[in-house]
Order: sequence, then C-alpha cells, then structure tokens
Amino acid sequence: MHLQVWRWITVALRSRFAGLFLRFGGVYVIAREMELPFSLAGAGCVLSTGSTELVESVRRSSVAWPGRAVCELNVDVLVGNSSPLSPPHFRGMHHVVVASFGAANVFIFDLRRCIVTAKVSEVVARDREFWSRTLLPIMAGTLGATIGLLPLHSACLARDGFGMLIAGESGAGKSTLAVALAQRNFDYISDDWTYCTAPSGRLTAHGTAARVKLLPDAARHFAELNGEQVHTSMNGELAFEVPVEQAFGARLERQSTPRLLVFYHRTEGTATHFAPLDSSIARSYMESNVEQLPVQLAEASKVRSSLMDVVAALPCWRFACGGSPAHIAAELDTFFESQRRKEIA
Amino acid sequence: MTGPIPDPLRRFVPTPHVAAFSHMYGELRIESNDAAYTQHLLEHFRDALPETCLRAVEHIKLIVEHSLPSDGERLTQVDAGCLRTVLRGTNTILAHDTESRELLIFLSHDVSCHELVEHLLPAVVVTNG
Repeated sequence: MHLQVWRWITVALRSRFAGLFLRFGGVYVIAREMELPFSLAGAGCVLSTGSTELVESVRRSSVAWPGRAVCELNVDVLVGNSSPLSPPHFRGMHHVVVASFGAANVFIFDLRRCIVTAKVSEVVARDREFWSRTLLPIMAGTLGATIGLLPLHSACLARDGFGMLIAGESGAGKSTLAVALAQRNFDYISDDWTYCTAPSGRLTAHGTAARVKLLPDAARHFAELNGEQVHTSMNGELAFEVPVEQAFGARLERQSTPRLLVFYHRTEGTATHFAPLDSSIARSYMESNVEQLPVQLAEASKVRSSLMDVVAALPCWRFACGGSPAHIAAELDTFFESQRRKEIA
Repeated sequence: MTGPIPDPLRRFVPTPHVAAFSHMYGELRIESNDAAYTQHLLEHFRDALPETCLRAVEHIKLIVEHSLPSDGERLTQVDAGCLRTVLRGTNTILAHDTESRELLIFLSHDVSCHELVEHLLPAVVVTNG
C-alpha cells in the first residue's frame, strides 16, 4: 500500500515538473509528444507516442515516409505498468477491430477513420521485436484496403528488381520455398503475406519484418533450424517462427515490382510442370483468400477489388513440383530466369 | 482453390434476433445472436428510457460469446476521437461511435444483462450531458 502511494507521488511530481505525464481516469500515461512518419507496407502512417524506444523500434523496422500519411498510430504508454504480452484476442464488428494482448495492452482499429489507438504497458512499449515483427504486420493486414493495401496470401521474392509472387494453399510450402529461393540469391520480401499497392496503376509488392513461419518438417531440410524451438503461432499452428535474415542470412528487401504470379502446387514426385494460368483463376484465388469485409467498409472493398484486377493482370503460371525445397527452388529459379530474360529481350 | 472464408474476428456472426422501438428522440434498433439479451435490452430501454443513452445510440449490435467466459472484471477504456471502447477483461468489448451512433458489443456469456445495462453501458456510452 505504501509503495503504491509513493509511486503515485513520484509520478505526480514527475508530471508536475517535467510536464511529460497525463492522467486519465486514475491512470498515468506518457504524453504523446513525438511523431514519426513511416511506411506501413507502402502506406503512409504517423506514429504518435511518448515512448522514445517505440519510436526507435518503428524507425528501425520500417522505412521513412515523406508523403501524406493516410493513417495514424496513436500509442499511450501506461506509466509504471509492467504487464507483459498475453496471448492475443481479436474481434471485429462493422468498422471496429480490437486486438488485445492482455488487459493492459489493447489496440483499437477504427477502419472508418484509419486510426489505430493503443494503450500499452511500459514493458511492451520497450519490446522492439513485438512492434516490428508482430504489431506492424497485424496493422498492415487489418487496415488493408482502407489505406490502399491489398493483403495477398503469397510469398514475394525478387532478383535485380524483377519480382515474383508465389501463391498457394496454406501448407503447400510457400514459406519453405521462399527460404530456399532466398538461399539461391533471391531478395526476400515476404513468405506468407505480401501487401500490394498500385499508385497510378504501378503495382508494387511490400513486405514487413514479420518472422518467416515454417512448419515443423522444415527442420529436415534446413540445418539452420537446429536449436530452434517450434511453438504455437497466432493462428494456432505449431511452427518455427524465426527472423529470416538472422536465421538464414536472407537479403531482406522491403519492396519490389512483381512481374510474375506463380501458383505453387506441391506434388509427390520430383517431376516439374509449368502451365499458363488464366487470370480469372488468379482472381478467384485472391477472392477466396482475402478477409471478408463488412458492408460498412464497401469503399475499401472496391479499392481491394481494383487492386486484385491489377495483380491478376500479371502473367500467371501454375507450377507443380515435389521433392526437396532445394530441388523445387532450383526448378523455379530456372523458370524465373527464362521469364526474366524474355522480358529483358 | 476455394473454400469457406474463415471469420477469425467473428465479424459475420448472424444476428437474427432483432427488436426496435420508437422513442421521443428517434428510434433504437437492437440486433443480437441471443434472443434473451435482445429482449432484456429492449425491456430496459423501453421501460427505463435512459435519456442520455437514447440520445447517443440508435443502433446496438450485440454478439454474446457463448463459448467464451469472462476473463477479468477490470475495465480498460480507450478513447479515440469519435470512438470510445471499453473492455471488461479482454473478452467483453464495447465500442460506441458517437458519430454513427452505433454501439457494438461482444459480451462473454457469463456477464449478466444487469451488469451490462447498469455498469458497462454507462461506462462506454459517450453523452453530451
């Protein structure tokens, strides 16, 4: 009890003399006195917070945004609160989405106004990994089309600026293939979710700093996973989740220009088959993999639909192959180079 | 390549239990996935006529989380412009949009209707008075 009283006195004094703290309903928060414009997977966003560590974390895990921002991330840090992250809980209704990681770490997404407002503990404000690897990817996925992004269930790799989107059903092995391609000197943009923008009709694919997620059997193929532990990921799957640049030495790029869309099907044998795919199938795949939006977000649905048209206009190929990730990556690499040469010619 | 689209946020839970009534400030529409809560809310608003609430809300959408018990009684309030959100623990969530006059609620099944109308609604509904 005495400790609590002293804590409030200390906070009150700090507030009075430093002018850095505000009191809301009996809880002190650090005033949002800093702003940082940054690119949220290709969309302009402004972070407002009182936490220098949070500003630094976002600065390190994103690129600067010089233009007009289309969304806000406002974060209040609860003074003296040390609540760690708890398992996440997500809910959404109409234009509101709530993501909580315990009662002290709450994020409210207002999709109508493109504003994310959060209250977090001091411990979480300092957790750089959480912001860069978890929260910013969640934010890009949740705001999505409301800020002009198409979250696409695909990996994205590139070489010399020539980008390739790799789509496929969950569990097909997109992430494993993405890592195997990164080991063949491809630039790594993303393994699972890629965010597409098309300002002025020019398609660009963006990645985040989310960890690469590999199913447990990936340990048979990648010695780099020795010593790593599988754990339950946010969608309930058991998986390795590792920073791809640290675990595999991948060259991480934040964006590329997609020139090719490949639908990958893992087969039993090692035979390889490529076949051109109609854009309507690409469109149908995208439709079936995007999050359903409520009628209250009809405008965002239209934006998303027009972005899908742009992606579906890419040359689309069906790629069927089996065997080791190294073999599959080698086959796709050969095909990729042939397509790239054609384009250059 | 197609299949049922998952609904992890529970955005599309059907709310077939609908009630509406007119009052001196307009109309209130209540929709829910639970008939009992719809009826309780209707009776509360029709009988008690909480003036400030009726002025600020014209649409209530309530999802009762039948498989999700409450996980704490602590209330967390987050204000963001036109949107006030109150969480009870993390499983019960109430959001009031003052501009669209919507009140959106996810309610753990063990939170009583009495607590909802007596404690949670006053905490979340932003009134001018």
